[in-house]
Amino acid sequence: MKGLWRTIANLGQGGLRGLSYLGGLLVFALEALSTFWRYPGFTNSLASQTVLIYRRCLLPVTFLLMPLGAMLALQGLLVVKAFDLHRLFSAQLMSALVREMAPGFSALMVAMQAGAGLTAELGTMTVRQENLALKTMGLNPIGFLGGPRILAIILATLLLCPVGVMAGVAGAFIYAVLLGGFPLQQFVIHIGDLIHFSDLWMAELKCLVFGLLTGIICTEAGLKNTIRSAAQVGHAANQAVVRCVVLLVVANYLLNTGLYGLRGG
Amino acid sequence: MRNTSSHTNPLIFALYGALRLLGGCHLGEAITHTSRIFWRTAPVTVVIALFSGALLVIQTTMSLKHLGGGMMGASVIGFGGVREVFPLLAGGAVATRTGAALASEMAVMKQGKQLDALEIMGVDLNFHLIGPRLLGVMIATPLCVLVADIAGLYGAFLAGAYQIGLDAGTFWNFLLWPISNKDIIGGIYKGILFGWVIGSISLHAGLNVGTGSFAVGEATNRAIVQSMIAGSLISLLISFIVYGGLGI
Repeated sequence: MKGLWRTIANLGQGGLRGLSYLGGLLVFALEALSTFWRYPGFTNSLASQTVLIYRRCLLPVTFLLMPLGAMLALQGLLVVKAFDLHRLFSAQLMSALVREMAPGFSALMVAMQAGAGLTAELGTMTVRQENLALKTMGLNPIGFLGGPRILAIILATLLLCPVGVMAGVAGAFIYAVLLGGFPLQQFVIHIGDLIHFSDLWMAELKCLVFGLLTGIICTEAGLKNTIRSAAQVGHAANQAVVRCVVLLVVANYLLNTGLYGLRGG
Repeated sequence: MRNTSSHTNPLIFALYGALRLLGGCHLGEAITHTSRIFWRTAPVTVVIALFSGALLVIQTTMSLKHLGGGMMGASVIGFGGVREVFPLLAGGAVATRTGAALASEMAVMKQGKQLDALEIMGVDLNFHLIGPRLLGVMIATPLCVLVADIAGLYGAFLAGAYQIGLDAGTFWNFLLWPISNKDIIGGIYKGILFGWVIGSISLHAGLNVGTGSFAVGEATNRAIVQSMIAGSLISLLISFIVYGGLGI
């Protein structure tokens, strides 16, 4: 019986820690996004960070989504053959890419590539006490460093989503049409059959939420005052990415339920 | 570090690591690392796969409305999930949770000159340090793939039966009927190869770390990204080998 109470207590404590962490993230985000515009040069900082993150993530997103597109094509071709659904092949493929794969995996790659890098960069600044120096000069590191970076991650994620769609389509095209001999005409003509304008803005809305989550989690992890050594920088980067991945998946589920309805549209 | 970090290419390091594993490694350490990696990654895998399974149900139900909706969606998740999505998610979970931790652990040991000290004392790093970790990831990843399969299917079932409101028994049957032993074994193969690639890339990134605390974060970052990209390529390759698929 004692063990049961202890398990329940541990679960409760875990839940409270999770809620406390989410609350801390909210406070951090409000502080970062309500103060960053007060500092001079934030537009330059925002532009340079966006370009940097976009350039860092462009190739990883392309190289991740191309095989995934090809993989979709591989399994799709098996279904197409089994049910004789040639007309729907490229339409379903595009639908899966736009609604789910491109926003999800682009955001995942931004979290892994840019998010972890951001945590490491800010964590190193924390170790070198550069944040304290900023505070001494009257600058709030959360607004000055965190704000532009959070916005930059959001912008880069929004820009990378179409790249992910194109890379996925390219991978599927190479696999199905160039290697598999799927009729080119059918692939091209039906590719947009199941996509509506609303799907595009929903994909971008997802990217906005994913980018916001990634930006907040990674900057918060890097600016924590508890980071004191190189080992803790690596640990913080690792922890930030894990939290990003888990929260992105949960947020994706909640967004899908919200956007497409509780019963799947 | 002439035996380990002198390999500047992760691919050569991976092949070298696999060859060295054939020569054996410290078994006790390997079991400890397998257990640690599995228990560290399994909870993350469960959460990711559970929600992804549920998400897939919502998407497929909507996309396949004109073809029969939910039950057809259940079958698509059954084979698509077990063949592709859940193994890849498990690989991603191992890369983010364990790969990054391995890279940062090795990087800190390298920066703290602990590896040099061990080598000076005559300790075989491949036998005691690198081999057990690599073997641990290679054993723990397929286990995580199985966990992801179960969690993903269960997530799909919960969403299909209790969120979308389809008949639970029929949905479960439609979910399971397309899954064959070949799919599960293919997933285990994928897991072993994911583990090898993730372990090799992460250990390589950690052993080739630069100086300063930023380099540790950079090594962690590199390990995750390279593991994820290599994982998706390997997934495609194994699917191609197992299922063929070319030729309309």
